[in-house]
Amino acid sequence: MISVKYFSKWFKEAGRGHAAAVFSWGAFLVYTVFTLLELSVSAKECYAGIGNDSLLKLCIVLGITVAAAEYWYLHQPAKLDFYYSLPVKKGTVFWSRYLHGIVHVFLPLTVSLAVLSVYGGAKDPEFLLCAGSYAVRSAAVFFAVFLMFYHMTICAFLAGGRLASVFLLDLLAGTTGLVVVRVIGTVYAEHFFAAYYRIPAFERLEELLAPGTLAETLAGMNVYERQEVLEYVPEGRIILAAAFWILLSGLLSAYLQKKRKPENVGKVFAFPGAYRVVSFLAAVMIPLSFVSLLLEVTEIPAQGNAGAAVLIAVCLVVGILVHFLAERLYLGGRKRYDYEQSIEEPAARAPLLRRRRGMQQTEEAFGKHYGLFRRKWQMFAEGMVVCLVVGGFLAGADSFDHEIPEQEELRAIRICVNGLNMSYKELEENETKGDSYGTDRGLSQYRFTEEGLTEGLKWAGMLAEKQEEKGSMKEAQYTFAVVCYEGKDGTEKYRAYPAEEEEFQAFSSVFDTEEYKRMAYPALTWTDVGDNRFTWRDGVCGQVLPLSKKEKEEFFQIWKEEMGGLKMDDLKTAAPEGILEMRSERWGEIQRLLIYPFFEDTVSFLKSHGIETGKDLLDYPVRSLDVRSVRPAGKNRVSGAVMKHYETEGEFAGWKDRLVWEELDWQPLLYPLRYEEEIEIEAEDPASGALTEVRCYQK
Amino acid sequence: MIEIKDVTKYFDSNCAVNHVTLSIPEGVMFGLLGTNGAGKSTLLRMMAGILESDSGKILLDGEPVYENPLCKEKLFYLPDVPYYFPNSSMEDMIRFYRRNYPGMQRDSVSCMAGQLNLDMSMPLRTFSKGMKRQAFLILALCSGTRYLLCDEVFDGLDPVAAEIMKGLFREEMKERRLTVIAASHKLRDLEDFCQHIGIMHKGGMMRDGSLKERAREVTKFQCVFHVQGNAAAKEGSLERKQFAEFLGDAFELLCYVREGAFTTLVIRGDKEGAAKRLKEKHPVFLGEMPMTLEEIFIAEIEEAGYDIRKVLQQMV
Repeated sequence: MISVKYFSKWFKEAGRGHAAAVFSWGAFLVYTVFTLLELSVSAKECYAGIGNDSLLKLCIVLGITVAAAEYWYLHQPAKLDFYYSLPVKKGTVFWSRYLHGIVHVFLPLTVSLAVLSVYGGAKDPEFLLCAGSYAVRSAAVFFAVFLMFYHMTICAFLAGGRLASVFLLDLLAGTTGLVVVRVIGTVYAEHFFAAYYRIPAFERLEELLAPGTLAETLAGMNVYERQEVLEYVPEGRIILAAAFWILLSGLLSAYLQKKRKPENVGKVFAFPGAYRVVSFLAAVMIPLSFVSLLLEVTEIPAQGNAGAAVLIAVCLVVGILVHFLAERLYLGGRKRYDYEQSIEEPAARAPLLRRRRGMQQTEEAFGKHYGLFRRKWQMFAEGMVVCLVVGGFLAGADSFDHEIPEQEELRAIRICVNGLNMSYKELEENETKGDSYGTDRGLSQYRFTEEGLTEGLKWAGMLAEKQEEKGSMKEAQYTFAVVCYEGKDGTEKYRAYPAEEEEFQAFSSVFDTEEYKRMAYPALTWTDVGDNRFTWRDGVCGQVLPLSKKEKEEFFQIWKEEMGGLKMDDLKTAAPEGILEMRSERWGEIQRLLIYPFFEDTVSFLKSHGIETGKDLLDYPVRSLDVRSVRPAGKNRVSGAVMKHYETEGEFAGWKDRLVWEELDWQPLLYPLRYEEEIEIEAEDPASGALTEVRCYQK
Repeated sequence: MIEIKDVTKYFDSNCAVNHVTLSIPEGVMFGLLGTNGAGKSTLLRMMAGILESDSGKILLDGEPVYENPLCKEKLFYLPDVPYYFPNSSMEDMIRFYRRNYPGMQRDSVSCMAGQLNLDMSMPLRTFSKGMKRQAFLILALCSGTRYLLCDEVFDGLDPVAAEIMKGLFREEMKERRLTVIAASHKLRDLEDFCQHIGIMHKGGMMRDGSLKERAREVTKFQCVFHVQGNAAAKEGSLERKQFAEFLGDAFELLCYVREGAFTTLVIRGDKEGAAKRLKEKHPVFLGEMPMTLEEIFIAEIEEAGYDIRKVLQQMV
C-alpha cells in the first residue's frame, strides 16, 4: 500500500520541469503535422509508421533524450542527497521516473500513429484495409526501438560517474557492434581471405550487436515494396534480438540502480566494473581497428606469416599503449580523489608544494594501486584476445579460401560471372568484395539446382584450385566470379574467385546447360505468348510487329529453339542485331529477346514480316554524330576529353557498320567493343518521324 | 533515540567514518564537531539514510534508517547547501515537503518567515545565502519531524538572524521534544546551543557526552608561580613535562600555556584534588577559570596529538 502511494506521488514528481513531456509531445506533434502534409500530397509514397525513416530516428533520439531528462538527477550530487534524504526508497524515485518517461513517449506515439492511420486510410483506400493492423504493428515496433535506446542510455547514466563517461558508455553501447563487424570483422575478412565476397553471419551479427542496425531492420527500413511494408512483420530472430536488448539493458539497469552508491557521483565511473569493461574494450578494439586502418591504407600483406606477424606486433604495441593510457588517465583521477579524501583540510587551501607532497605521500601509501602494471592479467587477456582475433583470421584463411562443399551438402549454387550477360558499365562497377548491385542481381538470377549445380560446382572447384596456385584476388587480371553455396541447412557461403580468360571460357560447361539458359533468358520459360505485344527495337526504330496470334507463337517457338541451342562460343562472333520486346498483356511484364545475326530462322522470319534486322544505325537519317574520347595524361601532355562532331554524309561514311547500340552491348568480354569512346548519334525514326538520341559504342 | 552502532564508511580506500558508536537521546541538541574531513557530514548523511554504511547499524527509534521511508518520515535533513527546485519559492517547497512530510505546518512557516522578513512567494534563487539558510531552517523546523539533521547549521547567518533562529529552535525543542543533530566545524555556532557534543577526528568519534559532564571533568586553572626564569620559559615543553610528572597519574594535563607571568593549565580529573596538588607548588596566584566549549574541544584535540594551530585556523 505504502509503495503504491509513494509511487504515484513520485510519478507526479518525475514530471517536474516537464522536460521529457515537452521533448516527446512536441516532437510527435511536429512529426504528425509534417507526415500529415506529406500524406496529403502523396499518400501512396508515404509511410506513417513502419518504413518511415524519420519516425525511426525520432524514436532513437527520444530514447536517449528522455532517459537523459529523467535520469539527469543521478549526476547532480545536491539533488541526489535531497531526494535520498526524503522518506522514499531510491527504487521508487528511479522506477517512477522510468514509467514517467515511457508513458510520455508511448501515449504521443500511439496518438500520432492513430491520427496518421485514419488520415492515410481516408486518402488511400488500399491502405484502409490494413490501417488498423499497420498502426498497431508500427506502435509495437517503434516503442521497442524507443525502449532499446531508453534502457541503454539509463544503463549509461547509472554506470557513468560523470556526464562525459555517460556519453562514452552510450556511444560504446551503440557503436561497439558496428566497429566489431564493419571496422574489424569485414575489413579483416577482406584482407585475410582471398576469396572473400560477403559473410552473411557478419550481417546477422551486426543486427544483433549494433542497436542502430537492429532498429533499422525492426522498423522495416530494408523493405521497399509498398505492400510488403504495409504487411511487414519483423522476422522472429529480429524480434528476439530486440527483446534480448530490451531485457538485458532493462535488467542491467535494475541491478545497477540497486547497487549504485550516491558517493560515487563525480568519479569517472560509478562502478569499477564499468571502467574495466571500457578499458578492456578500448585496449582490444582500438588496436584491432588501427590494424584495419593500416590494411586499408597501406600495402601490408595480410595473407602470409610475415605480414600477420607484423600486424600482431602492431596490435600488441598499440594495445599496451592504450591500456597504459587508460590506466594513466584513470589512476590520475583516482589518486587525486584519494588525496582529497585523505587530507584534513580543503585542497584549495593547501599551498602547491604541500599539495604535491601530499600527493606523493598518498602515492606512497597506496603505491601498489597506482602502478601502471597493477592489472597484469587484464593486460594479458587483452593481448590474448587481440592475438586470437588476428591469429584466428590468419588460421581460418586457408580453409575459407579453399572450402568447396560436397554436392550432397548443397541445396543450390548461385554463380555470377562478371562480364557475362551484362553491360560493360556493370562489369566496371562490380567489385570483388562487398555488395555490388550487378553481382547481387546476377547471384539472385543464376541459381542452379539441377545440372547447373553439378557443372557449376565443378567449375567453382577449378577456380578455387587455381586461386590456391595464384594467391590473392588482386592478381586477377581478366575477371572474377562470385559463387554462393547454399547449404541444405539454409546456410549461405559466398566466395569470390579470380578467373583468367581460360577459366572464363571453361564456364561454357555451365553456360551450355539448359538450366543456365532458363536463368539467363527467362523468356524461354514463357508459354502462350499469342496475346503479347511484340516490338522490334534496334536503337532508332520501335516497330510493333503486326503478327497474328499463331504467328507470334510460331515466331516465339523458332526463337526458343535457336536460343536453346546457343553456345557460349557463338557469342564471340557477333553482337545482337536488335531486341524484340515482348510485353505480356496479362501482367504487363516485359521480356527482351536478343536477336543475334546467327539466329538464321528467327532473322528470316522477322525479315519475312517486314523487319530489317541487319540495318546499320547510319542507314537511318542521321542528323549528327558526336564522339567524346577521354585522353589520359602522358609525357608533355595533359589529360582531357576530346569532342568531335560530325554532320555530313561524307563524315558519317567512315563510321558505317562500326556502331553498336549501347543496349546491345551484352558480352563485354566475349564480344568486346571500344569503350574508351562515347558516341551519340541523333537519328530520325522514319516510321514516326521522331528524332532519337542513340548512345553507342564502336566495334 | 538515534543509535549508531560501530558504523564504518569507506570512500574507496579512505575511511571516512571509522567504527563510530554513539547514542543521541530524544529532545536534545547534539553538536557534531570536527575539522574538515573529520567525517561529520558523512555520518550525518548516513543518519539521514542517504548513504549506506559499510558496516554497523544506524537505528532511529530502534529501526534502521537506510531505505526505510516510514522511518525517514521522522527526520528532516538539511545539508550545508540546501537544494531547491529551479524557480521555486518557499510556497512551492512547502507544497513539495507536505507531500513527503504530512506534519508540515504551513502556518508556522508563514509566521516564522514573517519574523525574519522573508517573502514566501519570491523565488528562492533571488534570496541571499543567509536568507536561503533562514528559509530552509524554517522549513526544517516546521516539517513536523521528530529529528532534525543539520549540516553547518548557522553557516551564513548574521548574528541577529542566528540568535532568532536559535530562539526558534529552543522553542520547538521545548514544545515537541525535537531532537537536533547539528554538525559544524565552527565551535562558536554550537557553544551556547548544544547540550551534548560529539567530537570527530579522522573519521573516529573522539569524545561524546553532555557538555556539563565534560566541563566537570576538565578544569582550567590560571596561576602565577614564584620562581619563573626566562630560561625556563624558553623550555616550555620541558616545563610541561615536569608539570605533568608533578601532577602524577591521578591528573591529566591537557593544556599548558605560559604567557608572561601567567600559566594556564587545563587538567582532567578531580577539580579539588588538582587545586590541592597545585597549591603544593606555592603559587602566588591560583584561580579557576570557566571552560568554553572551544577550550574543551581544543584540549581534547590536543590530547589526541592533533596540531592545534591548524584547528584554531579553521575553528575560529
